[in-house]
Amino acid sequence: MRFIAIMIDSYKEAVSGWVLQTLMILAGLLMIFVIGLSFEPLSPEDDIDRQLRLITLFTHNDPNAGKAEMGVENFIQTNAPEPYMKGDYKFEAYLRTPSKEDLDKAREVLDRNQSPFGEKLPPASGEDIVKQYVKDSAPYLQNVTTETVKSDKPGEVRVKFTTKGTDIDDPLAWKSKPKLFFSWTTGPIFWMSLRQAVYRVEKTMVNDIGAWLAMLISVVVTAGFIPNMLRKGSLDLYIAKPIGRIELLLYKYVGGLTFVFLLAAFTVGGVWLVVGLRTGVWSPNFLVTIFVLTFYFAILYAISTAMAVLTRSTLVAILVTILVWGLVYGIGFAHDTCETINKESKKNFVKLKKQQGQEGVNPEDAKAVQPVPEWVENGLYAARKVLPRTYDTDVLSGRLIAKGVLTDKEMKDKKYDEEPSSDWPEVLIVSFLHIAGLMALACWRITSRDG
Amino acid sequence: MAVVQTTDLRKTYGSIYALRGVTLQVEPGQIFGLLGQNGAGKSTMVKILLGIVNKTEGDAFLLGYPAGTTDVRKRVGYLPEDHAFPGYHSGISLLDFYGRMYGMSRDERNKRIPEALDIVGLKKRGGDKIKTFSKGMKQRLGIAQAFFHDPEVIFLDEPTDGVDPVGRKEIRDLLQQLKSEGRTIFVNSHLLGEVEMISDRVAILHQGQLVKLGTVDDLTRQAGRFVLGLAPGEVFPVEAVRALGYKVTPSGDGHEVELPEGKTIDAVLSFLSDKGHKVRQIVEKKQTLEDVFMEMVESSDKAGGEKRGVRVARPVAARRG
Repeated sequence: MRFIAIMIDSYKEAVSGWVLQTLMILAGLLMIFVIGLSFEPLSPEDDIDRQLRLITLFTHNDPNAGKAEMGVENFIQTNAPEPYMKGDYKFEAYLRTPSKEDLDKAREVLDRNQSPFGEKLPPASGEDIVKQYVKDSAPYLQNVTTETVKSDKPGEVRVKFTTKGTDIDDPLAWKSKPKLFFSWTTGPIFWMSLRQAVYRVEKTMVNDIGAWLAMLISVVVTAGFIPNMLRKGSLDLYIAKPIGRIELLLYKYVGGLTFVFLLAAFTVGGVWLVVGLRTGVWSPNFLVTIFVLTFYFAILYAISTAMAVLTRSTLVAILVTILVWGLVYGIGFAHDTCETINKESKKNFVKLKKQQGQEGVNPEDAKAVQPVPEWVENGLYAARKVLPRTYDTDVLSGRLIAKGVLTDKEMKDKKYDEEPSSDWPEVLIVSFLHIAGLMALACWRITSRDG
Repeated sequence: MAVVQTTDLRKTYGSIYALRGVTLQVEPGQIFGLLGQNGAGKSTMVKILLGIVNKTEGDAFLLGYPAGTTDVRKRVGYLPEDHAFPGYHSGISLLDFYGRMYGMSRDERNKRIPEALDIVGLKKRGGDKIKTFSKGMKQRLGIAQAFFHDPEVIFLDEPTDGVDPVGRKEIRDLLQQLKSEGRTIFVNSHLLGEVEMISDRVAILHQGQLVKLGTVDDLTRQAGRFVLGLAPGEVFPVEAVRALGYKVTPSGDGHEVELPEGKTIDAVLSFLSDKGHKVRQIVEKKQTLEDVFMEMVESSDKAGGEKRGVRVARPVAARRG
């Protein structure tokens, strides 16, 4: 009964500032946005041509790229009217420059196999570059055979492609052109499979942008709950009731979490429902993020609660919480970034040595070329492991959402096939220990002081 | 069983002595007034009994349980001084919230909340947000929340603060009504006239020490002073009475007779009767509580006590405010 009373009181306090309503309206707008999304399957011709034209756009802005143009021509589906994902195709792709000299320049710029360590490698041929870019643009095309087409222009390279089938058997994984509000066609950078679009909505719009915004606002809104309770004239009224101080503090804490839980349940549940109805993708993993977001907030609110009890100041509680949040998240992010940079560097170094004909690389040599010193990476690693795991929670929840929505291939493209740095039990245990420690500190303080 | 019992109760805030060995007992069904200047230790006393502040030494019991016992607070109502109700509540929702905290059922709350608001004159404004209330209305709501859950004992810290004279009268009447229902009421106040009008027993705290304790009659009675009035047309025999060893001074239409040590008024009455005087008025003279209080403060200060304001003790929360 007392728990319910404090829940209702916390709810009234949150509602009184119109913040909860505002956040729910924002969540509602997001749902309306998702309702208005529609998807039109993208033809491989559009897909490849669009990506090659993007290359043209970049090379035209680069004076050293020989004014290169890339594109496709004579594109036909040989087994029409089969759906795109079951199609067999024939087309020609070209790399075109005004002269032979320009073509050489373009090859230098467009070749992706240059060493990051500065060693100069001979540029790939024009045909290889065309093949590589077509493969990168449409990796799903199967049984690809190529044939160089002789061009009478000295600055042009032309390759004929014949393909049979694709490696995509899920219509939801086929690339589409999303349309906003049922009719506004989006540009090429938004073209993606329907599954990826759902992933973007659930991960980027809800779990990243939406959650960060909601967390920040929730930290500000709920930070006042406990200082308001502790202020002169208010605490006496609470303590004079048949409720212990620790019970009162814990109920208030849970009240704050309930605020976020309700908000997360409304937003995630609503988006999940709308996405499911619009796309047919019903991922239960996304619903788990309701609890993940609440847990994430539980870490932040424990910091806020401890600060509120120690200082009785809403402002201090907000500032310290945001500072610690930024610091802890920053350490996780910095370590992850350093680790990735060093891993990539090592991988490239091994690849280079292999290209140079050297088999087996001395690990010490690989370490010597790491851009981030080992002691920095190790220091960040140690800090990341012992501090509350906001960053890891974020990473793991992103992976969780992806797993529920994306195909294995799409997961691999996003590098979700690699082992994460931490797992859920570790993240939950370390973070929970911090929550318990902070709450114990807050409970000790509230019981040991007068008034 | 005493409702409140303290023995040698002490409280210090650092080097400041808020209570210096207070021993008192409050019996059930009384209105008990605790008087004192600001900082005398009145609020600290109540806060210790309710567990809001921890005692330093001594014993304190409320309804037979050690002070601070959580469950016993179900049977207690409390209006703190300078209370701050959350502005986002209405009168009704605040009482509903507190009712849940007291463990009242929905039916009980639905019955008691309108009744309580009606009693304090807030029935029509009960649905309005507290932030729109005047200070007097907040005070009346505070009193309602202190009694609406049917407590056995009610602590009221400066209950008439910010209330207009009509409201004060209503509050006094309400306290009398609550007392008639068998509740014990513990009133902290520095408004001596208010306390004098309603209290059965009074204690005066001065600089953390209990300096007076008794009924209002006991405290205000001036032992050995009577005002005597004779029938119209008769002249009071001043010199003759003085000759008997009494001090006589005119007082309004009569004369005030002060008894010397070891003598009673009976000798004067017999003398007047023997001389054929008709005594029409005999009143034992009393002081007001304010007179008693001021006298006590002055004598305490003269006796070497600390001057007001030099070592005024306030609860931590209050000082921080």
